[in-house]
Amino acid sequence: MTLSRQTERSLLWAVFVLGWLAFILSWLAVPVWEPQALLYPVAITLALYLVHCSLVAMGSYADELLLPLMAVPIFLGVATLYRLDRASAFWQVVWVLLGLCPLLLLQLVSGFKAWRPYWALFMLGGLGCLAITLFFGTEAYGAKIWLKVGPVSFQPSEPAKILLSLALAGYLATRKELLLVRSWKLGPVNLPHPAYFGPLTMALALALLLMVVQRDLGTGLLLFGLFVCELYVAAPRWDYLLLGILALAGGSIVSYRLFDHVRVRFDIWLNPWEHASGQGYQLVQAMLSTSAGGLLGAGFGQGWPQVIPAVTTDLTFVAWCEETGLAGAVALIIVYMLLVQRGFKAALTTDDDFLALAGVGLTSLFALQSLVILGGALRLIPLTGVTLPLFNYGGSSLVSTLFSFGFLLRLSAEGRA
Amino acid sequence: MGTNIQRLLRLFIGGFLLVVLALTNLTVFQRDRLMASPHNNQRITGWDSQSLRGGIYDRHGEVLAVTEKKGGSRHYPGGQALAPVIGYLDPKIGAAGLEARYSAELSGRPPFWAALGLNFPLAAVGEDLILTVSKELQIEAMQLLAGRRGAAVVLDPRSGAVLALASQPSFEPEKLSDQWESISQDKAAPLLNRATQGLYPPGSTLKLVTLAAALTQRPDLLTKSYSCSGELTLPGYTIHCPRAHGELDLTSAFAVSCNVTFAQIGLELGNSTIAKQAEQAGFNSTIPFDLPVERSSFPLGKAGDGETAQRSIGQGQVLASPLQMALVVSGIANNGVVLRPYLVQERRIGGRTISRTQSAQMGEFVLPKVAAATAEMMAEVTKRGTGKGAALSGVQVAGKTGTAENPHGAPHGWYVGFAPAKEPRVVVAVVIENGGSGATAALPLARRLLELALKEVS
Repeated sequence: MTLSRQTERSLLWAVFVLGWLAFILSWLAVPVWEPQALLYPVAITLALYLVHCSLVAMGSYADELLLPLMAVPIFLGVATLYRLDRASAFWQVVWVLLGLCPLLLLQLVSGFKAWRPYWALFMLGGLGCLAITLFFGTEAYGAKIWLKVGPVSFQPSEPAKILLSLALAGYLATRKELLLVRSWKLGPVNLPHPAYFGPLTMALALALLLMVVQRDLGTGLLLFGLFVCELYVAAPRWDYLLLGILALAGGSIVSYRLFDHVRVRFDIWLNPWEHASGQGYQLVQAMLSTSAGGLLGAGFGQGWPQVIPAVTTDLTFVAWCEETGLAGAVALIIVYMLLVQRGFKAALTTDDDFLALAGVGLTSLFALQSLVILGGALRLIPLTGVTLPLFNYGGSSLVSTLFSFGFLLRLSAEGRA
Repeated sequence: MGTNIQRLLRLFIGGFLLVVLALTNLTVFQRDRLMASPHNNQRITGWDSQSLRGGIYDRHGEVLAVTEKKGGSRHYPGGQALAPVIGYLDPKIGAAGLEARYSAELSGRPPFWAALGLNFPLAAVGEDLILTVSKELQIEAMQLLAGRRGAAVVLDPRSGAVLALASQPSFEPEKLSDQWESISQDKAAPLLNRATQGLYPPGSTLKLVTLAAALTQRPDLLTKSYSCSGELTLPGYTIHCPRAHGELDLTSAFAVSCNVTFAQIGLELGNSTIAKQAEQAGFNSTIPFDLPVERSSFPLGKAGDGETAQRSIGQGQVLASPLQMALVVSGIANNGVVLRPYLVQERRIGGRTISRTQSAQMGEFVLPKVAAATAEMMAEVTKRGTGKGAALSGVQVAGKTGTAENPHGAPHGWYVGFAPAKEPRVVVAVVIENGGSGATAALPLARRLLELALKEVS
């Protein structure tokens, strides 16, 4: 059998047509066009096509849908950013090129299974990443989550999420049966086994700590969600998970009472219109922008999403909504649903517990992060500053998401080979 | 583990579907409301510069708002007198009133076009709006209110067309950005449209609702005889009348606005019966209108005797906007049926009518025979009661005064009414904040407005 990856190639071409169309439309909307503008779509097209060619050359068995599906938000994201802010688009292209390298390198690695015993190392790494900003971090947008090395800003919480996801997968894979069956008897009371209780408590503590100390509500919520997802898949104990969720809710209420910045976020969420000219400005403008799109959108380059603060880093999706309408937004959401489905499918193909859990963890992380920001922008939950993976501007997020998908690609290849 | 992964997938898909639902809600169902928001001003003015904005005209074709050239500034020949109706469009401040509500149409983006979300204009010239308002009557209403805080609504009960919608103090829409500092911080709140968004205790004008409820639910109360000793002591509250009215029937009690009698009737009916009657005219829900409306309220549920008695004479926790009281009266004037109030009669492109507003029923306030009986009793108010001063030569006027106690000082003066008493053509509602008694503060204005408005509609 030759591995020409015909499906992948055809789909990629379709994505290229889509992406170029978006670029052509945004060029039509500006009065002056410069030839350098071609560099953006050309670079993205070449990079994605090269990844495809490399996969063919490697004779990879990897899922042929994953790469074209990823290509949709990457290409359209760069096009939307180009329309909003050239500089962001430029750096986003650079980050795409950089991020695709680890994705390809991962395809050369065989035997991920061997990573399982190093879970403690991953854990330390992840916690280290989270801790480092506490001491060396710089504050931006009210959260102390950035690390500045020379001219480059970097968000250590992004690799931390991946490391912690792998760590938990390794930990759970080695203790799976133990978790499900045994409980810890203390006299007449059946307590959950510490093996189960441990990670749950840790997730809870981390989430609350992140919320309170680093003012990073988004990452706190994501990590907690991630742990719950992996625990559920490894050993579904509804009672404990429910207990965990209740505890998180309780913790949130307590921190709402105690800490101003948490309270402000919630108040904006509950009554955005009362704060419409102040702290709720971003959320109100995001809702107005989304709503302005209507069914088919203003047309690429025709809307007014520039009025939203931090539109490139947090709310690029809202700009997309305004200019392509409900139709474009739903189309993009369907791509995200398919990406999640392909991620879980990759996790299902492997018979190794660690790999399956790691696949589930990374996919859940992607899904949760997407839902947290989409829900935030639409006021289903409080708005937090996490990025829509693959679409928003954000180097650290892009590179680590591409790393996750590199892992999932390799996982799907290993399962099929 | 496989099944768990499948379940988790389904959970996430559910999450994404929820996002799709929220998106649909924002882009389809909430769109009209959100796009008219004052916080959307940058987008509105941005859209606006792409086409020649349409004009706004009164019922006789008088210019109320006009833009001379594409992207040019907006002129308001009516000045502050028309501001409560038109609102404003200002590149720095944004838009309000009809300018905000009909922004899409005025800038050449008809609703079907805007619903698709297409923001570039369909035509280079926007639509013109022809209003139901009469510029002359509006200016007169604003002059009558000048120097006071208050509002007046004049409408045609047979169609729901609003002839005048006045609110003082007002502002000069063309000078808004220069005076923004002082206007937005003015304690008298000139930006507040008191006719639609001002909520006041309705005082005795609410007896119309109590009376309607009594005539509908308990016709026996009509023939009963009442006695008023000047006060009625209830647990927690004492109802007062200015003097002891003695023995009297219901018609006389209404004509002299006897609080004790109406408190007794209110207690007979119970809080929820009156509340439901009030809801028939639009209380506790948002009146559909071309301008933002504050919800008038009559609390539902069980209430103590003191509270029920207060509410049945329009005190306590009952709050109503002048527009709301005008609708109560228009229900009585229009055989019991309340028609949806509206300001925009027609939309035109280049002189061609593309949409004409049809009268629509908003609700049924009372049965025709109850409406007729109430109208007769309102005519008695003018003949021999508190509203004597409203009489016009040659036309019988039906009305009701109100003097609403409030915690902010002197009582608010109210007058609501219609003319002619038989086959009414105009309804009026006037409130003067802290103006004292309804008969002295509000009634003379209302009389003048009725007189002028009758000339407008035949």
